[in-house]
Amino acid sequence: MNSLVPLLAEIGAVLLAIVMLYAGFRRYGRVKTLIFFAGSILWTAPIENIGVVTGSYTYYGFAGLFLTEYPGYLFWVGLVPLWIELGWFVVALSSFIVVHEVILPKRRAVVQAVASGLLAVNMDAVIDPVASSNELWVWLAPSIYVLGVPAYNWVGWFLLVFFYDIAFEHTVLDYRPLKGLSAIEKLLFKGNVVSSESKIIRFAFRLVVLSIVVTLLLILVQAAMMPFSYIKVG
Amino acid sequence: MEEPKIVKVNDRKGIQATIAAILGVLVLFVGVSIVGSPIKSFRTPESSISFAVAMYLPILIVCVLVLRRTKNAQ
Repeated sequence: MNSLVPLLAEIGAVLLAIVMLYAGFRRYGRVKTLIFFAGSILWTAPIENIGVVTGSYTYYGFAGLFLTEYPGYLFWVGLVPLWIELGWFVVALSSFIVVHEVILPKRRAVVQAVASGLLAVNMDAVIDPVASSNELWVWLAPSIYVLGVPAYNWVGWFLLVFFYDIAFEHTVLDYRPLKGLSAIEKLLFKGNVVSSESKIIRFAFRLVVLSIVVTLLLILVQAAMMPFSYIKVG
Repeated sequence: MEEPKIVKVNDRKGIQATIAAILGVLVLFVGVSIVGSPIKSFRTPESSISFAVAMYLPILIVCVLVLRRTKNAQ
């Protein structure tokens, strides 16, 4: 295994994240882009860490590469390298901008979120087979495997981008109540929803609630695929 | 035929940067395939890279559409 691979991936993800931060600053301004960025970390870090803790995958394929103590990557958020979150941010924000600003502007948020989710899954169809073949991460869980990647991973990408897209659109860009959450939000939050501080708090709250929903859905999908784990495609 | 969406000049750089990042993802992972190992199912770097580009075709088409829709802003 080439020792340049993890460094290349880590540095590449950081550079692409800088390009996407610039793109976001130009289109949405600094505050909203930084909310998107911070929200990406808050959104993906717990779910990714749960994936590692439950034995779905590991990021320690390159542990001990340069030094015995070296964990394989430079920067970590818990058990997950920071560049994984940065990569998710790049895919999610680029899908968001392309769909919301150019391909499907002024369409229903659900339609835009579906399109963003599909675009992100398409990008991951390149990322994941290359990354897992090079042990940037190693899949461990029994499942239906397509090109060396568990099929529930594609479902996970779609769900994560779909829900994040709706949450950002309807909290930060254009505030709207979300079905099922509006009653709780009325009890928890009072005051002006237009201010940046209020939007940040409400966005964080919605992400926490939605991440529980996504995690439960992913556990169900993963469990449903387990009996068919003998199926390997590609 | 639908008219191209006119994006403000201020936005154009943002959208171009977005396309650059999307293409950058492809370049990065093709780079990883070249420096490291090919995708296991394909065994050779060439077939692995061809697969990556083929999988990215829908996105490349989206990129062309996006750039066509934004070019009127000049």
